[in-house]
Amino acid sequence: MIAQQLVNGLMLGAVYVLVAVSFTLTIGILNFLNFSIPGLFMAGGMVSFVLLRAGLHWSLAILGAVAAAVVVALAVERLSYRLSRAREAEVPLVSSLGFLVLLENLALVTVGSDQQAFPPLVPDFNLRLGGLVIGGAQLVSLVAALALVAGMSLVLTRTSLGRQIRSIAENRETAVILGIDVGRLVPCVFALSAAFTALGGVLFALNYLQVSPFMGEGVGFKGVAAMILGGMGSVWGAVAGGLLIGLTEVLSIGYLGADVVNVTVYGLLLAVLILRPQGLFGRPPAREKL
Amino acid sequence: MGALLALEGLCVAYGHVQALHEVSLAVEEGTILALLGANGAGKTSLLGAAAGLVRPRRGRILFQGRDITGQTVPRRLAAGLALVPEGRRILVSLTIEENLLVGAHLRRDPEGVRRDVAALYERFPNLGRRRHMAAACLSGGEQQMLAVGRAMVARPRLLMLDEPSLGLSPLFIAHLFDLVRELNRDGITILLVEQNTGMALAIAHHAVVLELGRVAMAGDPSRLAADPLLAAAYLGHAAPDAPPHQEPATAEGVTG
Repeated sequence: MIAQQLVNGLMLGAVYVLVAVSFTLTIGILNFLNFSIPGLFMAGGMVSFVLLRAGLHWSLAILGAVAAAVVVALAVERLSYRLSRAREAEVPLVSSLGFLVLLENLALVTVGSDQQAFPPLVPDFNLRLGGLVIGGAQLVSLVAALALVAGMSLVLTRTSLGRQIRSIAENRETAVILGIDVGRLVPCVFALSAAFTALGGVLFALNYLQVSPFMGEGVGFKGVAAMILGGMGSVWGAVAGGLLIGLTEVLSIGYLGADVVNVTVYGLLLAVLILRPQGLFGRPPAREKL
Repeated sequence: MGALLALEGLCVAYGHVQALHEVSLAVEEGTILALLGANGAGKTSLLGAAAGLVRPRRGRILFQGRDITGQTVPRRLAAGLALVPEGRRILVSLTIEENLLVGAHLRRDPEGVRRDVAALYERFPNLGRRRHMAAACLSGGEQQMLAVGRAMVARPRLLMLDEPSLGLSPLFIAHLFDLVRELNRDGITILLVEQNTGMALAIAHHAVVLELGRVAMAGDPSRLAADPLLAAAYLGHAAPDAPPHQEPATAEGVTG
């Protein structure tokens, strides 16, 4: 059933897409590899879990999870990115990793280290198309992920806010000269990236019906891999990379066994990097012409 | 008419290196002021302080009579003070049209912006034809026109140009100076920093020469242009019996 495997791979890839896009946003625009992203992913799943358990409506629980992730991301921006950017490039990277550890341990002391059962929010229906079976949660994930990325891509290319953000991405100094309020827009990018990550965490929980303090780690690494695979800084490259990694993972589980899944996923990444160092959709760095 | 921009006793320093010492100058409304001087004389620092990119140690900056010394770049831009930076700083990953729209990002009248952008395309058909292409495809001269256009769509009252002719072919330099004169006739006050002193003095109403961060001379451009000793000392022109002076080659040899 290769067609079924492909469908499953795309659905899994949808979660990686959101995480890869989050990484792409901060690295492409701010040149900052935000290591707290796996923590924000976990926070998305975990906070919505806690709020659901407290009896909140699912929409409020998801909203709360996104809001929590945005608040944490703004703290990362203020305390790790902004404070230490002026000194050494590596410092914010390491201190954002500190935030990951902090978030994971915060979750650990709040709910414990066990997997927690996430309530099935999407009615358990299966869409049958020919011989294919698509689960409701899977379908919701793919549609939501692609809609979110398409919406963000529209914002980046069609709105004044998007043009200003892309100006910062190309050259921060030029953006300042042009009167763009960089100090206001950088937190916006962090918030946007956090919202995507948190929604990725929610979708993951919807699909696997469980959350745990360390759920962000494997997904986070695959998100980074997806971003690099697609080409750093390219939003649609991150989408392609995420889907490709989802497909590789499912196919590799289906045909080679679950033990080798990381070998195939990261082997693919290595192969692409050797053959095409800028990633599938990445462009060699643009050279400024004077 | 009064001074649109006035600098009073402006001091700018980077660490221990003082770039401007007590510089005062005024740009009269509706005029072109040429700011001249050798490399390192403080011209770019002066524009940076006026635009809000550099915080002066001391002194005041007045725009339309109001003290703007502590204001941010966006606020100055919104008040009508725009800078065309040295090296043009075109955003090459954005399209030509997007570069222009970024220039207008503070405006809240989309209709007016559209009209202004359309008018620019008419003025520069080379930009209009390629409006949806990445700005990287433009030549150096076209990029300079785009840089000026990007500042224009902000509807400035004062346009500050930093070495706009640098690296351009003679033909483009002539176009550029025509354009500056045209914009001035349309009512825009110009503060022009130039190494191309002859052409700058030819279109300016006033000229100021900076030397090592101080105002060395100021006055009528034709008088400055006619003074051979001063020209030799500050403007990089050959004095009658001095060997011909070569302009230093620019780092990037891209021509218009």
